[in-house]
Amino acid sequence: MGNFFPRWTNFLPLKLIAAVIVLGTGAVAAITVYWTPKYSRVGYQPEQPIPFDHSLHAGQLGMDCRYCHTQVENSLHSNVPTSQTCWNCHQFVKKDSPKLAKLREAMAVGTDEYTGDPIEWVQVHKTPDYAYFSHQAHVNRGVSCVECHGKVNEMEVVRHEESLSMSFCLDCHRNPEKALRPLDEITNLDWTAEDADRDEFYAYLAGVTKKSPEELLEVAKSHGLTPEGGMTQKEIGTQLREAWGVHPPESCTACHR
Amino acid sequence: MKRKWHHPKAERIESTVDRKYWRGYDELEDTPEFRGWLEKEFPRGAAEVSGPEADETTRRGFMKYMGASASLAGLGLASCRRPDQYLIPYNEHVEHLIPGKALLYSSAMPTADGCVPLVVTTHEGRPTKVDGNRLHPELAGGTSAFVQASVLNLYDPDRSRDYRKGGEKVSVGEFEEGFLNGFRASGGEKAAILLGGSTSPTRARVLEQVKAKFPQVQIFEYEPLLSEAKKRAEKQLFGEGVSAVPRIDFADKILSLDCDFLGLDPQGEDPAAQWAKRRDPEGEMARLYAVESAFTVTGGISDHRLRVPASQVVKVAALFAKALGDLTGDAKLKAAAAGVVSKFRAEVFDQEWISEAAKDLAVSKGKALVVAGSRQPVAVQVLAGLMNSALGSVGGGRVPVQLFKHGRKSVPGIVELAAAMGAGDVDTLIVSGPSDPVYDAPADLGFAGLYGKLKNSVHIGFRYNATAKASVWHVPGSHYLESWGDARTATGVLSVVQPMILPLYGGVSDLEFLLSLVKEEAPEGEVVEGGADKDLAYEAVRETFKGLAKGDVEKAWNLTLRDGFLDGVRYQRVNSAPAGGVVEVGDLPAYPGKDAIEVVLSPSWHVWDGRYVNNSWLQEVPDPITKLTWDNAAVMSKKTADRIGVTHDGQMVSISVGGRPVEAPAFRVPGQADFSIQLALGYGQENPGRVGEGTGFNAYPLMTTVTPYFVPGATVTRTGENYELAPTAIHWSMQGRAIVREGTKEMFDEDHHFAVDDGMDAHIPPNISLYQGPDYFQKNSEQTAHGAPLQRTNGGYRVDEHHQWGMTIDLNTCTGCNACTIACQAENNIPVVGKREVIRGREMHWIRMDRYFSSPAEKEGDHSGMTSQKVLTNDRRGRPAHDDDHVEMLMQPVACVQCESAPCETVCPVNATVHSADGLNAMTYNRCIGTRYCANNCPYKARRFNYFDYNKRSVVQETEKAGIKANDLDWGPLAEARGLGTTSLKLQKNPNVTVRMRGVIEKCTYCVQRIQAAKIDQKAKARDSKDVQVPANTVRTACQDACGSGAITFGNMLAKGDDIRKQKGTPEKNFEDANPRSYDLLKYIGTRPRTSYLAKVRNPNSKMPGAEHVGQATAQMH
Repeated sequence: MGNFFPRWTNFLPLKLIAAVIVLGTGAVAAITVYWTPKYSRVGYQPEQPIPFDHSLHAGQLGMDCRYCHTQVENSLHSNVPTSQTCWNCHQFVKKDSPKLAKLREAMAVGTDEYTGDPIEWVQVHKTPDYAYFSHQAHVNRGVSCVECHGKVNEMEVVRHEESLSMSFCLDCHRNPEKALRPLDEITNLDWTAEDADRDEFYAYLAGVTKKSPEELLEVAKSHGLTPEGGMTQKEIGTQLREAWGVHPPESCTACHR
Repeated sequence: MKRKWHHPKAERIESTVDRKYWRGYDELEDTPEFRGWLEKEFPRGAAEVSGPEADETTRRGFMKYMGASASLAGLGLASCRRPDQYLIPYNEHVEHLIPGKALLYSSAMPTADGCVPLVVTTHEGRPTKVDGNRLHPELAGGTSAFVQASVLNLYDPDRSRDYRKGGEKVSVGEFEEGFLNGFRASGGEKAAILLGGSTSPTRARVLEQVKAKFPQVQIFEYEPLLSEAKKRAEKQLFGEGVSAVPRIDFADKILSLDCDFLGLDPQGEDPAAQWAKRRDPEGEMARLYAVESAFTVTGGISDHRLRVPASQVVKVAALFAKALGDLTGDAKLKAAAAGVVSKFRAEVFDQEWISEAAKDLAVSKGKALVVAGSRQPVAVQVLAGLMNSALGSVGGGRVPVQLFKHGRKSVPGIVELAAAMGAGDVDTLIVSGPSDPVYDAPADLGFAGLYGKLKNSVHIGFRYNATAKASVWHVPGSHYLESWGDARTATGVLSVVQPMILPLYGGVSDLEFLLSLVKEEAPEGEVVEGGADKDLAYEAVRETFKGLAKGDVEKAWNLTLRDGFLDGVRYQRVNSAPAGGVVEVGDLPAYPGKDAIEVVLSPSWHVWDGRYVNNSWLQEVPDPITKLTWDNAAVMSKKTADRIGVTHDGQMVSISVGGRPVEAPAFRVPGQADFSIQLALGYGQENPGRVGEGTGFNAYPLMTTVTPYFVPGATVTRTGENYELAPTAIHWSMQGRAIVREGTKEMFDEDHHFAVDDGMDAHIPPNISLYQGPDYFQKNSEQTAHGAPLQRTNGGYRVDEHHQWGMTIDLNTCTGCNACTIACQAENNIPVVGKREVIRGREMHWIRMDRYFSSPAEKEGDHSGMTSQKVLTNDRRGRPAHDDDHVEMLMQPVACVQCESAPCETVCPVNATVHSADGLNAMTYNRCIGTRYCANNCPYKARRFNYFDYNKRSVVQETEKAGIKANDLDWGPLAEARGLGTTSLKLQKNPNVTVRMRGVIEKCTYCVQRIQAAKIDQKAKARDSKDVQVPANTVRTACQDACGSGAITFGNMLAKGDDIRKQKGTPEKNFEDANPRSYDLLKYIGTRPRTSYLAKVRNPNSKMPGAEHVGQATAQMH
């Protein structure tokens, strides 16, 4: 009986196992990194039929988000504006710009360009069909647009800023104080807690809760906050959460039906 | 240690009567088939792996393999980027519309003798759901299953879409040129128009215009189930244009003469709600006596029921008339009764039953009501009218029969039309309306032949039915949600039929067609206001409205459109004593026997008179009595079946009357009069569309003008063939446990809590378990610094301190009419599964309507048990009474009861079903992997599994591939995606509910989408306050909205003032203030359901024969 297998084959199984482990780990790592919403969605920045510049309108011109997204406080969808909304201004302003060709097709009745076809905007942010996210529930209770959409007022082309995965949602639902802000600052995407004035804030809070500012400061202390120096998001968020009775639902039925 | 619950041996409660309850003959006889059903949770295709291999298949192993295959499947994905999707806004704002929010409009569904005022839910312009209008002054807001399902007809993929000539598609212009212009130019010579019944004042007005413009045109009305008898009797008694409208809630005693007023033969305004008002056992309960041939829902809910062949009801009516004439001394009634009673032998009927019932009616003078079924002949209608009058129940004030002058003239029917056609007086016929005369006209008229001989015929219709095919011209009709119209309810409240959507396929309504006949062409050069876009029907309805409204017409119109009815306008109430007179009965029909069986032609719970044949929701909803789906059948009593030789349901019988044989499968149902066979109309149509294709058997060949609904003298023989029916009676069986409970008023008065400890609930041991589960009402919570609860938690569970939902279902007022089942289907996107899958027990209805029969059980060794009870029967030879005489029917809708300690939740391997903080047993469809453990563990059998992609694959069609012909479902992805869910029907889907796919469990979630919407709305209102509790009685479930008798109460048990707190009690008082009749299903297993039931209470008259059996069925159950 001779040696059927050469000597190098002795280590083949080990080598194979090592190779499988390395490749497998690589595959798992690659899948985890590249196929998660964090990778696949964040950064999505499709080209729109009209290169609408949010940084110009919402940033420089200072238009409120709700000028166009009119029903965000009333509906689960934050609606894309009707062509009429754009036309309000753009029938006068830059009306011949080649960038607005699609708008004129939709609205310029009586001209050659007019077809009446609506503008097909590419959807950037999307929750799955089985997740029923409601804008109405959030913007009316102290969650700003910026929490999910990022600083749209600085974006020339809108990009997908957050993963909008379920863990992203739950993160906030479990710790809502990270996101809550006064209701008049909801569409102010540049607002930070540091901007807030402590006396003004506590005066407002006293009005809502019918408690004295001293009592409210006690509440802050009981939560381990040190209400000194500049205001922090944690202080504002925790106080608002208590004052408004914010208990974000964590049941499946909150989003899935 | 696991405690095992041993069902204690049932103690035999000694009782004078022993009753048992059951759902089908298979169960009563305990056949092997029934045993088989019981032993398997999911009848066919259930997991049946056994043997050593199966034992090694652990859950861990299963997850491992599934995980591996899932990741392999992932490797095959081509791209991980989502495809581009587009958001397309409107160009211009739409008034009132908020994208993502439903818009509600008022409208109405016109019916032959009234209308159902509706609130229609639309999503971005698509009507998706209809509900009754709860603002209406006369109606409580319930609807029938037909109304609920009518929205599906709008999207019927097989609707007629094209103008046709001789079957070939033509353009509108060709029709105008080929027919309309010629007709407009004529004077209507030899022309006739056949319409359906209607109460529309606009149609009546336009018809006058048509007659003025075409003086020779003749107008006829026909619907197969629109009986002439009631109108004729009203004309005879009260004069032309007056109708007698019953007020059920003003009656203490009601006698129904073959009138299913709670089901298929509604009388007056909203009978179910009025009836329910009088059935609260804590108040003064009304009592109902029912005389009928086959079980109806009205007979099922009655306190005393007498089964009599339908053709013999006239004799019973005469006996009642005689008895009441003697008791009240009313001369007119005495005279009328004497003329009939002399013509037959009274001994055949249960004299004691009749005389005791008559005495009871006579006691409640002025508050007793006799209602006659609309299919009963004129004689019965007249006798009923005279009896009401003798009882002092007709006239002014709060009486149970009120007279209203509607002023409509009687219109000749199909008999007169056929005569005119035969005589050659009609050669052009326009057929419009819901009837299909070529298919559904009485057989002896030979209508199809006459129709074919016409020179010109036009059919305007929603379906391309038999009449459409036989017509020269066909015009697609519109759905009532597509065009303007109006209608008045029985007492004359006007509702405007408001269109919700432009006609999907350019159809026209009968009103629009009539208007186009009389349209005035604008003179050359003159511009008409509105131009070509002017909606003729809209203008006409507004014109009529001007004549009816008082004061500021514009304001009244806007209010009418908003509220759905014109306030303050009714028909004039009149107060006249009925004219007496002779009751024409002719030759009374002989009592049916084995060789001369009576066939009763009835409306169908599925297709009505045939018009809903292509409506899949109605086809699949089980008939309340027979529980049959997708078919009709020759329904007969067991005795009749025995005599014919029928031993099993589904054996084909040939029913022959005067040489017109009709074949149908036999189906045995208890409580049916012997030698009386009931056969539902409307089935067996040719090419009715893909849903109705091949369903049922046509009964119209038996219908004649002489004997329209009760056909005597039939010979019935077995053909030897068998037919597979799809009844659901024994599906989801509760195996005899005491889940349905009833009693009598007497029992209730003695002990209000009589039903609470029925059966096993009497033996519940104290709970010694250490684990108590989360208690949503317990008061221990994390305290915050300011002393208010931050989050109420219990055992690690977060609890919603503002909302805890609960439901009660009142068995006392539930009639079993299926409206809730269909409403649930419409609201929650529940698919239909097709007949084959129903046979396999896979129907998907979240609310199953359990129907139980109860009958006196024979005590062992004592077969004469029943004879001692002085009960006369239909059996004239003095044999022992047949069980069928004392059968009672009980209805119980069961959906998921939302257990607080839910057995399903603990077994889900992927947490797809979990408990929500507000007490719902939630379903996360996207998480479900279809193990079906939850369904196996559900003690109420409330969970449904999607065995196939019912939305994507056609459930009613077959595909042939490689020579193999199989159902589309079996082909799966290999078959074309042409399911009903992929056609225009998908426009009906509720966007707020996930459309489930194959392999997912689904069940009732208390309409969680409505709950969440209400909560979010409240949060938006609360803004920066803590006021987040949804106000009391805000959220209503779809079933609750649909229920005509208000049997379902739903609400938040923590909201002060919520109706549910009256029924289920309040947590503050530890629920001791609950409705005394409230009980939980299978309480002893400790699931703590959120849905509880209120026990049924019957109100028998102790002097009636057989009264001791009434309401006793469940007293001794376990």
